[in-house]
Amino acid sequence: MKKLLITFFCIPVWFIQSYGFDSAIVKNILPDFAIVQCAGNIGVVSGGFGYSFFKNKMLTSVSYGFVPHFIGGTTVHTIALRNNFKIYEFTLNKENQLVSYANVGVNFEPGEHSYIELPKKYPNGYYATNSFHFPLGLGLRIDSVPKHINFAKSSLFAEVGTLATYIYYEYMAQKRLTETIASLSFGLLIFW
Amino acid sequence: MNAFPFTQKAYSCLQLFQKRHLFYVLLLLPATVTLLQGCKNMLDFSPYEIRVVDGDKNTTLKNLIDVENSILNPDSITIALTADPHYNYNNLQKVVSSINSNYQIDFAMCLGDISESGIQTEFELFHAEMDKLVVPYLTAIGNHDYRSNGEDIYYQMFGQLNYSFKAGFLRIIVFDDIFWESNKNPDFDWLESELKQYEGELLAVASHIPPDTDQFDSVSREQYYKLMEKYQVKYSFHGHQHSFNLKEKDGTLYVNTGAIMKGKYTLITIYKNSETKIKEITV
Repeated sequence: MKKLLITFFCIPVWFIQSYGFDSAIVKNILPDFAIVQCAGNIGVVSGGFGYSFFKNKMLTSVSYGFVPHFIGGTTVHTIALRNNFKIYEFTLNKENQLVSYANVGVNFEPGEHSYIELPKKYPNGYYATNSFHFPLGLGLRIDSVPKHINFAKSSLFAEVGTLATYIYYEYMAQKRLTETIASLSFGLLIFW
Repeated sequence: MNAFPFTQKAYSCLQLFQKRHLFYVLLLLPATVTLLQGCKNMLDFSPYEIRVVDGDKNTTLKNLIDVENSILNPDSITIALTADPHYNYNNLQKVVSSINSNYQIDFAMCLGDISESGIQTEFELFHAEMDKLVVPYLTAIGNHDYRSNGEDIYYQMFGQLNYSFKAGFLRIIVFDDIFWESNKNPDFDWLESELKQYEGELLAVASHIPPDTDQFDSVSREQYYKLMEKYQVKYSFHGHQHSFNLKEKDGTLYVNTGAIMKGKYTLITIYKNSETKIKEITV
Protein backbone atom coordinates (compact mmCIF):
# COMPACT_ATOMS: atom_id res chain seq x y z
CA MET A 1 0.00 0.00 0.00
CA LYS A 2 2.84 2.40 0.90
CA LYS A 3 4.47 1.79 -2.49
CA LEU A 4 1.17 2.50 -4.19
CA LEU A 5 0.76 5.78 -2.30
CA ILE A 6 4.31 6.86 -3.09
CA THR A 7 3.69 6.16 -6.76
CA PHE A 8 0.35 7.96 -6.67
CA PHE A 9 1.59 11.16 -5.05
CA CYS A 10 5.32 11.43 -5.61
CA ILE A 11 5.74 10.67 -9.31
CA PRO A 12 3.66 13.67 -10.52
CA VAL A 13 5.58 16.01 -8.18
CA TRP A 14 8.90 14.62 -9.36
CA PHE A 15 7.79 14.96 -12.97
CA ILE A 16 6.82 18.61 -12.57
CA GLN A 17 10.02 19.40 -10.73
CA SER A 18 12.13 17.74 -13.40
CA TYR A 19 10.59 19.39 -16.44
CA GLY A 20 9.24 22.65 -15.01
CA PHE A 21 5.63 23.71 -14.56
CA ASP A 22 5.31 25.52 -17.89
CA SER A 23 7.07 23.00 -20.14
CA ALA A 24 5.09 21.58 -23.05
CA ILE A 25 5.37 18.00 -21.85
CA VAL A 26 4.05 18.87 -18.37
CA LYS A 27 1.19 20.93 -19.82
CA ASN A 28 0.13 17.98 -21.95
CA ILE A 29 0.34 15.44 -19.18
CA LEU A 30 -0.80 17.61 -16.28
CA PRO A 31 -4.32 16.67 -15.15
CA ASP A 32 -7.14 19.14 -15.79
CA PHE A 33 -8.52 19.14 -12.29
CA ALA A 34 -8.09 17.98 -8.73
CA ILE A 35 -10.87 16.29 -6.80
CA VAL A 36 -11.56 16.06 -3.08
CA GLN A 37 -14.50 13.96 -1.95
CA CYS A 38 -16.16 12.83 1.25
CA ALA A 39 -17.82 9.38 1.41
CA GLY A 40 -19.23 7.58 -1.66
CA ASN A 41 -17.77 4.15 -0.81
CA ILE A 42 -14.20 5.29 -1.46
CA GLY A 43 -13.26 6.58 1.98
CA VAL A 44 -14.12 9.16 4.56
CA VAL A 45 -11.93 11.50 2.53
CA SER A 46 -10.49 10.89 -0.90
CA GLY A 47 -8.38 12.98 -3.18
CA GLY A 48 -7.05 12.67 -6.68
CA PHE A 49 -6.62 14.12 -10.14
CA GLY A 50 -8.49 13.88 -13.37
CA TYR A 51 -8.90 14.79 -16.99
CA SER A 52 -11.72 16.46 -18.83
CA PHE A 53 -12.87 15.05 -22.17
CA PHE A 54 -15.32 16.18 -24.89
CA LYS A 55 -15.63 19.78 -23.64
CA ASN A 56 -16.23 18.78 -20.04
CA LYS A 57 -18.95 16.28 -21.00
CA MET A 58 -16.91 13.53 -19.45
CA LEU A 59 -14.66 13.87 -16.42
CA THR A 60 -12.36 10.97 -15.57
CA SER A 61 -10.46 10.93 -12.32
CA VAL A 62 -8.33 8.65 -10.18
CA SER A 63 -8.57 9.06 -6.42
CA TYR A 64 -7.11 7.56 -3.32
CA GLY A 65 -9.54 7.21 -0.41
CA PHE A 66 -8.94 6.43 3.22
CA VAL A 67 -11.15 5.21 6.07
CA PRO A 68 -9.51 5.58 9.48
CA HIS A 69 -10.03 2.83 12.04
CA PHE A 70 -11.86 5.07 14.51
CA ILE A 71 -14.60 5.85 11.98
CA GLY A 72 -14.88 2.68 9.91
CA GLY A 73 -14.06 0.10 12.58
CA THR A 74 -11.12 -0.88 10.41
CA THR A 75 -8.60 0.94 8.22
CA VAL A 76 -9.45 0.82 4.53
CA HIS A 77 -7.48 2.15 1.56
CA THR A 78 -9.22 2.45 -1.78
CA ILE A 79 -8.16 3.45 -5.28
CA ALA A 80 -11.09 4.68 -7.34
CA LEU A 81 -11.53 5.40 -11.00
CA ARG A 82 -14.53 7.67 -11.63
CA ASN A 83 -16.20 8.66 -14.88
CA ASN A 84 -18.73 11.48 -14.74
CA PHE A 85 -21.00 11.91 -17.73
CA LYS A 86 -22.86 15.16 -18.09
CA ILE A 87 -26.61 14.63 -18.46
CA TYR A 88 -27.94 18.17 -18.60
CA GLU A 89 -26.65 21.66 -17.94
CA PHE A 90 -28.69 24.55 -16.53
CA THR A 91 -27.26 28.03 -16.80
CA LEU A 92 -27.86 29.82 -13.53
CA ASN A 93 -26.08 33.05 -14.45
CA LYS A 94 -22.96 34.20 -16.29
CA GLU A 95 -20.54 32.48 -13.99
CA ASN A 96 -22.48 29.56 -12.63
CA GLN A 97 -23.94 26.45 -14.18
CA LEU A 98 -25.84 23.65 -12.54
CA VAL A 99 -24.84 20.34 -14.09
CA SER A 100 -26.55 17.02 -13.56
CA TYR A 101 -24.41 13.97 -14.22
CA ALA A 102 -24.19 10.20 -13.94
CA ASN A 103 -21.21 8.56 -12.34
CA VAL A 104 -19.82 5.11 -13.04
CA GLY A 105 -16.50 3.72 -11.99
CA VAL A 106 -14.41 1.06 -10.37
CA ASN A 107 -13.23 0.94 -6.75
CA PHE A 108 -10.26 -1.19 -5.91
CA GLU A 109 -9.22 -2.32 -2.43
CA PRO A 110 -5.62 -3.48 -2.67
CA GLY A 111 -5.87 -6.63 -0.62
CA GLU A 112 -6.03 -5.92 3.11
CA HIS A 113 -9.70 -6.87 3.29
CA SER A 114 -9.98 -8.72 0.03
CA TYR A 115 -7.96 -10.63 -2.52
CA ILE A 116 -7.32 -10.18 -6.19
CA GLU A 117 -5.99 -13.68 -6.65
CA LEU A 118 -7.36 -16.63 -4.72
CA PRO A 119 -4.91 -17.94 -2.07
CA LYS A 120 -3.43 -21.32 -2.94
CA LYS A 121 -5.20 -23.19 -0.13
CA TYR A 122 -8.52 -22.89 -1.98
CA PRO A 123 -9.53 -25.15 -4.83
CA ASN A 124 -9.81 -23.43 -8.21
CA GLY A 125 -12.92 -21.27 -8.53
CA TYR A 126 -13.86 -21.54 -4.83
CA TYR A 127 -14.35 -17.74 -4.65
CA ALA A 128 -14.28 -14.88 -7.10
CA THR A 129 -12.16 -11.82 -6.35
CA ASN A 130 -13.72 -9.36 -3.89
CA SER A 131 -11.30 -6.48 -4.43
CA PHE A 132 -13.38 -4.62 -6.98
CA HIS A 133 -16.66 -2.78 -6.59
CA PHE A 134 -18.55 -0.80 -9.20
CA PRO A 135 -20.08 2.44 -7.98
CA LEU A 136 -23.01 4.08 -9.72
CA GLY A 137 -24.49 7.45 -8.90
CA LEU A 138 -26.43 10.51 -9.91
CA GLY A 139 -25.23 13.90 -8.92
CA LEU A 140 -25.48 17.61 -9.23
CA ARG A 141 -22.56 19.99 -9.42
CA ILE A 142 -22.27 23.73 -9.65
CA ASP A 143 -19.59 24.76 -12.12
CA SER A 144 -18.36 28.20 -11.29
CA VAL A 145 -16.12 30.24 -13.61
CA PRO A 146 -14.51 32.97 -11.55
CA LYS A 147 -14.55 36.51 -12.94
CA HIS A 148 -11.05 37.56 -12.03
CA ILE A 149 -9.16 34.35 -12.65
CA ASN A 150 -9.74 33.48 -16.29
CA PHE A 151 -8.06 30.06 -16.25
CA ALA A 152 -9.72 28.44 -13.27
CA LYS A 153 -13.05 26.84 -12.51
CA SER A 154 -14.33 25.27 -9.35
CA SER A 155 -17.23 22.86 -8.88
CA LEU A 156 -19.06 21.75 -5.82
CA PHE A 157 -20.86 18.45 -6.16
CA ALA A 158 -23.30 16.30 -4.22
CA GLU A 159 -24.09 12.78 -5.35
CA VAL A 160 -26.45 9.99 -4.39
CA GLY A 161 -24.81 6.69 -5.18
CA THR A 162 -24.44 3.04 -4.44
CA LEU A 163 -22.55 -0.04 -5.60
CA ALA A 164 -23.72 -2.27 -8.44
CA THR A 165 -23.61 -5.26 -6.07
CA TYR A 166 -26.02 -3.53 -3.69
CA ILE A 167 -28.46 -2.83 -6.51
CA TYR A 168 -28.45 -6.52 -7.36
CA TYR A 169 -29.07 -7.41 -3.71
CA GLU A 170 -31.95 -4.94 -3.48
CA TYR A 171 -33.36 -6.34 -6.70
CA MET A 172 -33.20 -9.82 -5.14
CA ALA A 173 -34.83 -8.48 -1.98
CA GLN A 174 -37.45 -6.58 -4.03
CA LYS A 175 -37.15 -3.48 -1.91
CA ARG A 176 -37.07 0.23 -2.57
CA LEU A 177 -33.57 1.12 -3.71
CA THR A 178 -33.07 3.97 -1.27
CA GLU A 179 -34.10 1.92 1.75
CA THR A 180 -30.70 0.55 2.66
CA ILE A 181 -28.17 1.06 -0.08
CA ALA A 182 -28.12 4.62 -1.38
CA SER A 183 -25.81 7.07 0.30
CA LEU A 184 -24.57 10.60 -0.10
CA SER A 185 -21.17 11.86 -1.11
CA PHE A 186 -20.03 15.38 -1.74
CA GLY A 187 -16.88 17.12 -2.79
CA LEU A 188 -15.04 19.73 -4.74
CA LEU A 189 -13.38 19.89 -8.13
CA ILE A 190 -10.78 22.52 -8.92
CA PHE A 191 -9.89 23.06 -12.57
CA TRP A 192 -6.87 24.98 -13.77
CA MET B 1 9.77 27.18 -12.57
CA ASN B 2 8.35 25.72 -9.44
CA ALA B 3 4.80 24.70 -8.58
CA PHE B 4 4.07 27.83 -6.49
CA PRO B 5 1.78 29.60 -9.03
CA PHE B 6 -0.37 26.49 -9.12
CA THR B 7 -0.83 26.65 -5.32
CA GLN B 8 -1.67 30.35 -5.58
CA LYS B 9 -4.30 29.69 -8.28
CA ALA B 10 -5.85 26.87 -6.30
CA TYR B 11 -6.07 29.06 -3.21
CA SER B 12 -7.73 31.88 -5.17
CA CYS B 13 -10.25 29.39 -6.53
CA LEU B 14 -11.08 28.25 -3.05
CA GLN B 15 -11.65 31.84 -1.92
CA LEU B 16 -14.02 32.49 -4.81
CA PHE B 17 -15.74 29.18 -4.25
CA GLN B 18 -16.65 30.16 -0.70
CA LYS B 19 -18.41 33.36 -1.80
CA ARG B 20 -20.12 32.13 -4.94
CA HIS B 21 -21.32 28.72 -3.89
CA LEU B 22 -22.95 29.55 -0.59
CA PHE B 23 -26.33 30.37 -2.13
CA TYR B 24 -26.36 27.21 -4.25
CA VAL B 25 -25.26 25.03 -1.39
CA LEU B 26 -28.28 26.23 0.54
CA LEU B 27 -30.41 25.53 -2.53
CA LEU B 28 -29.12 21.95 -2.97
CA LEU B 29 -29.18 21.00 0.67
CA PRO B 30 -32.95 20.47 1.10
CA ALA B 31 -33.12 18.45 -2.15
CA THR B 32 -30.31 16.17 -1.04
CA VAL B 33 -31.76 15.67 2.42
CA THR B 34 -35.13 14.78 0.88
CA LEU B 35 -33.45 12.21 -1.38
CA LEU B 36 -31.68 10.63 1.54
CA GLN B 37 -34.60 10.46 3.95
CA GLY B 38 -35.04 6.77 3.27
CA CYS B 39 -31.37 5.89 3.49
CA LYS B 40 -30.12 3.86 6.43
CA ASN B 41 -26.61 5.27 6.26
CA MET B 42 -26.31 8.84 5.04
CA LEU B 43 -22.64 8.35 4.28
CA ASP B 44 -21.09 5.08 3.16
CA PHE B 45 -17.32 5.22 3.42
CA SER B 46 -16.45 1.73 2.24
CA PRO B 47 -18.13 -1.65 1.70
CA TYR B 48 -15.44 -3.07 4.02
CA GLU B 49 -16.22 -0.84 7.01
CA ILE B 50 -17.56 -2.30 10.27
CA ARG B 51 -20.39 -0.12 11.54
CA VAL B 52 -23.06 -2.33 13.09
CA VAL B 53 -25.90 -0.18 14.44
CA ASP B 54 -26.87 -0.68 18.08
CA GLY B 55 -30.27 -2.18 17.22
CA ASP B 56 -28.62 -4.98 15.22
CA LYS B 57 -26.08 -5.95 17.89
CA ASN B 58 -26.07 -9.06 20.12
CA THR B 59 -28.86 -10.79 18.22
CA THR B 60 -27.97 -14.26 19.53
CA LEU B 61 -28.23 -13.17 23.14
CA LYS B 62 -31.64 -11.54 22.54
CA ASN B 63 -32.96 -14.60 20.73
CA LEU B 64 -31.63 -17.07 23.31
CA ILE B 65 -33.92 -15.48 25.87
CA ASP B 66 -36.85 -15.92 23.47
CA VAL B 67 -35.98 -19.57 22.72
CA GLU B 68 -36.55 -20.44 26.38
CA ASN B 69 -40.09 -19.09 26.13
CA SER B 70 -40.88 -20.27 22.60
CA ILE B 71 -41.07 -24.02 23.30
CA LEU B 72 -44.66 -24.59 24.31
CA ASN B 73 -44.93 -28.37 23.92
CA PRO B 74 -42.78 -30.16 26.55
CA ASP B 75 -42.84 -33.45 24.58
CA SER B 76 -41.54 -32.27 21.20
CA ILE B 77 -39.36 -29.60 19.61
CA THR B 78 -39.75 -28.47 16.02
CA ILE B 79 -36.79 -26.67 14.45
CA ALA B 80 -36.67 -24.97 11.05
CA LEU B 81 -33.12 -25.81 9.99
CA THR B 82 -31.89 -23.39 7.34
CA ALA B 83 -28.51 -22.44 5.85
CA ASP B 84 -26.78 -20.68 2.97
CA PRO B 85 -28.99 -17.78 1.94
CA HIS B 86 -25.89 -16.04 0.47
CA TYR B 87 -27.36 -13.18 -1.61
CA ASN B 88 -30.69 -14.72 -2.53
CA TYR B 89 -32.88 -12.42 -0.44
CA ASN B 90 -35.94 -13.27 -2.50
CA ASN B 91 -35.78 -16.92 -1.43
CA LEU B 92 -34.91 -15.83 2.11
CA GLN B 93 -38.17 -13.86 2.19
CA LYS B 94 -40.06 -16.94 0.98
CA VAL B 95 -38.44 -19.15 3.63
CA VAL B 96 -39.26 -16.61 6.36
CA SER B 97 -42.90 -16.53 5.19
CA SER B 98 -43.02 -20.33 5.10
CA ILE B 99 -41.65 -20.58 8.66
CA ASN B 100 -44.07 -17.91 9.87
CA SER B 101 -47.03 -19.82 8.44
CA ASN B 102 -46.11 -23.01 10.33
CA TYR B 103 -47.29 -22.63 13.93
CA GLN B 104 -45.57 -25.88 14.98
CA ILE B 105 -42.09 -24.43 14.60
CA ASP B 106 -40.53 -23.48 17.93
CA PHE B 107 -37.43 -21.73 16.61
CA ALA B 108 -35.24 -21.47 13.54
CA MET B 109 -31.53 -21.95 12.95
CA CYS B 110 -29.46 -20.60 10.07
CA LEU B 111 -26.25 -22.57 9.79
CA GLY B 112 -23.93 -20.13 8.09
CA ASP B 113 -23.17 -18.35 4.83
CA ILE B 114 -25.59 -15.61 5.72
CA SER B 115 -23.50 -13.32 3.54
CA GLU B 116 -21.73 -13.76 0.22
CA SER B 117 -18.63 -11.59 0.63
CA GLY B 118 -18.69 -10.85 4.35
CA ILE B 119 -19.57 -7.18 3.84
CA GLN B 120 -21.83 -5.31 6.20
CA THR B 121 -24.69 -4.60 3.80
CA GLU B 122 -25.14 -8.34 3.26
CA PHE B 123 -25.38 -8.97 6.99
CA GLU B 124 -27.83 -6.07 7.33
CA LEU B 125 -30.09 -7.39 4.58
CA PHE B 126 -30.10 -10.85 6.17
CA HIS B 127 -30.79 -9.40 9.61
CA ALA B 128 -33.65 -7.26 8.30
CA GLU B 129 -35.35 -10.29 6.72
CA MET B 130 -34.82 -12.61 9.69
CA ASP B 131 -36.25 -9.95 12.00
CA LYS B 132 -39.61 -10.68 10.35
CA LEU B 133 -39.65 -14.20 11.81
CA VAL B 134 -42.31 -14.72 14.47
CA VAL B 135 -40.09 -17.34 16.13
CA PRO B 136 -36.58 -16.67 17.48
CA TYR B 137 -33.61 -17.65 15.32
CA LEU B 138 -30.02 -18.59 16.03
CA THR B 139 -27.06 -18.66 13.69
CA ALA B 140 -23.74 -20.39 13.09
CA ILE B 141 -20.92 -18.72 11.19
CA GLY B 142 -20.16 -19.95 7.66
CA ASN B 143 -17.04 -19.81 5.49
CA HIS B 144 -18.42 -16.93 3.39
CA ASP B 145 -19.16 -14.98 6.58
CA TYR B 146 -15.44 -14.90 7.36
CA ARG B 147 -14.55 -13.10 4.12
CA SER B 148 -13.48 -9.42 4.21
CA ASN B 149 -14.24 -8.27 7.77
CA GLY B 150 -17.19 -10.64 8.15
CA GLU B 151 -15.93 -12.25 11.35
CA ASP B 152 -15.94 -8.89 13.20
CA ILE B 153 -19.31 -7.91 11.77
CA TYR B 154 -20.75 -11.33 12.65
CA TYR B 155 -19.37 -11.06 16.19
CA GLN B 156 -20.91 -7.62 16.71
CA MET B 157 -24.23 -8.44 15.08
CA PHE B 158 -24.78 -11.92 16.51
CA GLY B 159 -22.26 -12.60 19.29
CA GLN B 160 -20.05 -15.55 20.19
CA LEU B 161 -19.05 -17.93 17.40
CA ASN B 162 -19.11 -20.93 19.75
CA TYR B 163 -22.01 -21.18 22.18
CA SER B 164 -24.55 -23.63 23.51
CA PHE B 165 -28.14 -23.36 24.64
CA LYS B 166 -30.94 -25.45 26.00
CA ALA B 167 -34.10 -25.77 23.93
CA GLY B 168 -36.58 -27.72 26.05
CA PHE B 169 -35.09 -31.19 26.52
CA LEU B 170 -32.47 -30.68 23.78
CA ARG B 171 -29.01 -29.14 24.29
CA ILE B 172 -27.65 -27.57 21.10
CA ILE B 173 -23.96 -26.73 20.81
CA VAL B 174 -23.23 -24.25 18.03
CA PHE B 175 -19.69 -24.73 16.78
CA ASP B 176 -17.51 -22.65 14.45
CA ASP B 177 -15.84 -25.27 12.23
CA ILE B 178 -14.35 -23.03 9.54
CA PHE B 179 -10.72 -23.89 8.76
CA TRP B 180 -9.54 -22.05 5.66
CA GLU B 181 -11.11 -18.61 5.99
CA SER B 182 -10.49 -18.33 9.73
CA ASN B 183 -6.82 -19.36 9.30
CA LYS B 184 -7.06 -21.54 12.38
CA ASN B 185 -8.26 -24.96 13.41
CA PRO B 186 -11.70 -25.11 15.02
CA ASP B 187 -11.63 -25.14 18.81
CA PHE B 188 -12.17 -28.87 19.36
CA ASP B 189 -11.07 -28.49 22.99
CA TRP B 190 -13.97 -26.11 23.61
CA LEU B 191 -16.35 -28.52 21.85
CA GLU B 192 -15.18 -31.41 24.00
CA SER B 193 -15.47 -29.39 27.21
CA GLU B 194 -19.07 -28.48 26.32
CA LEU B 195 -19.92 -32.08 25.43
CA LYS B 196 -18.36 -33.24 28.70
CA GLN B 197 -20.26 -30.62 30.68
CA TYR B 198 -23.63 -31.65 29.26
CA GLU B 199 -22.95 -35.39 28.97
CA GLY B 200 -26.11 -37.36 29.55
CA GLU B 201 -28.42 -34.71 28.03
CA LEU B 202 -29.96 -35.14 24.58
CA LEU B 203 -27.22 -33.44 22.52
CA ALA B 204 -27.02 -31.83 19.10
CA VAL B 205 -24.06 -30.07 17.50
CA ALA B 206 -24.79 -27.42 14.85
CA SER B 207 -22.10 -26.06 12.53
CA HIS B 208 -21.75 -24.88 8.96
CA ILE B 209 -19.38 -27.41 7.42
CA PRO B 210 -20.21 -31.12 7.59
CA PRO B 211 -17.20 -33.22 8.68
CA ASP B 212 -17.14 -35.31 5.51
CA THR B 213 -16.52 -32.36 3.16
CA ASP B 214 -13.77 -30.13 1.79
CA GLN B 215 -12.30 -28.18 4.73
CA PHE B 216 -11.94 -31.12 7.15
CA ASP B 217 -8.76 -33.13 6.67
CA SER B 218 -8.71 -36.78 7.67
CA VAL B 219 -7.34 -36.03 11.18
CA SER B 220 -9.97 -33.38 12.00
CA ARG B 221 -12.72 -35.51 10.50
CA GLU B 222 -11.78 -38.46 12.69
CA GLN B 223 -11.52 -36.16 15.71
CA TYR B 224 -15.04 -34.86 15.10
CA TYR B 225 -16.55 -38.32 14.59
CA LYS B 226 -14.83 -39.62 17.76
CA LEU B 227 -16.25 -36.75 19.84
CA MET B 228 -19.75 -37.43 18.52
CA GLU B 229 -19.41 -41.11 19.36
CA LYS B 230 -17.73 -40.61 22.75
CA TYR B 231 -20.38 -38.23 24.07
CA GLN B 232 -23.27 -39.98 22.31
CA VAL B 233 -24.32 -36.87 20.40
CA LYS B 234 -27.68 -37.64 18.84
CA TYR B 235 -27.73 -35.01 16.08
CA SER B 236 -25.15 -33.18 13.98
CA PHE B 237 -26.72 -30.34 11.93
CA HIS B 238 -24.93 -28.70 8.97
CA GLY B 239 -25.26 -26.59 5.82
CA HIS B 240 -22.56 -25.69 3.25
CA GLN B 241 -23.35 -28.45 0.74
CA HIS B 242 -26.53 -26.71 -0.52
CA SER B 243 -28.31 -30.04 -0.70
CA PHE B 244 -30.36 -32.09 1.71
CA ASN B 245 -28.61 -35.18 3.02
CA LEU B 246 -29.14 -37.62 5.90
CA LYS B 247 -26.52 -39.97 7.26
CA GLU B 248 -26.25 -42.05 10.41
CA LYS B 249 -22.84 -42.89 11.84
CA ASP B 250 -22.04 -44.42 15.23
CA GLY B 251 -25.45 -43.43 16.64
CA THR B 252 -25.29 -39.82 15.43
CA LEU B 253 -27.75 -38.58 12.81
CA TYR B 254 -25.99 -36.17 10.43
CA VAL B 255 -28.52 -33.79 8.90
CA ASN B 256 -27.41 -31.57 6.04
CA THR B 257 -30.01 -28.99 5.15
CA GLY B 258 -30.61 -27.65 1.66
CA ALA B 259 -29.74 -24.04 0.86
CA ILE B 260 -32.10 -21.09 1.27
CA MET B 261 -30.60 -19.76 -1.95
CA LYS B 262 -32.18 -22.76 -3.67
CA GLY B 263 -35.45 -22.27 -1.79
CA LYS B 264 -34.92 -25.24 0.54
CA TYR B 265 -34.92 -25.76 4.26
CA THR B 266 -35.45 -28.67 6.65
CA LEU B 267 -38.09 -29.19 9.28
CA ILE B 268 -36.99 -31.38 12.19
CA THR B 269 -39.33 -32.54 14.93
CA ILE B 270 -37.64 -34.25 17.85
CA TYR B 271 -39.77 -36.07 20.39
CA LYS B 272 -38.79 -36.66 23.99
CA ASN B 273 -38.50 -40.40 23.32
CA SER B 274 -35.83 -39.55 20.66
CA GLU B 275 -38.17 -40.27 17.77
CA THR B 276 -37.30 -37.86 14.95
CA LYS B 277 -39.28 -36.65 11.96
CA ILE B 278 -37.35 -34.90 9.21
CA LYS B 279 -38.86 -33.24 6.18
CA GLU B 280 -37.30 -31.14 3.45
CA ILE B 281 -39.37 -28.09 2.56
CA THR B 282 -39.23 -26.34 -0.82
CA VAL B 283 -40.61 -22.81 -1.04
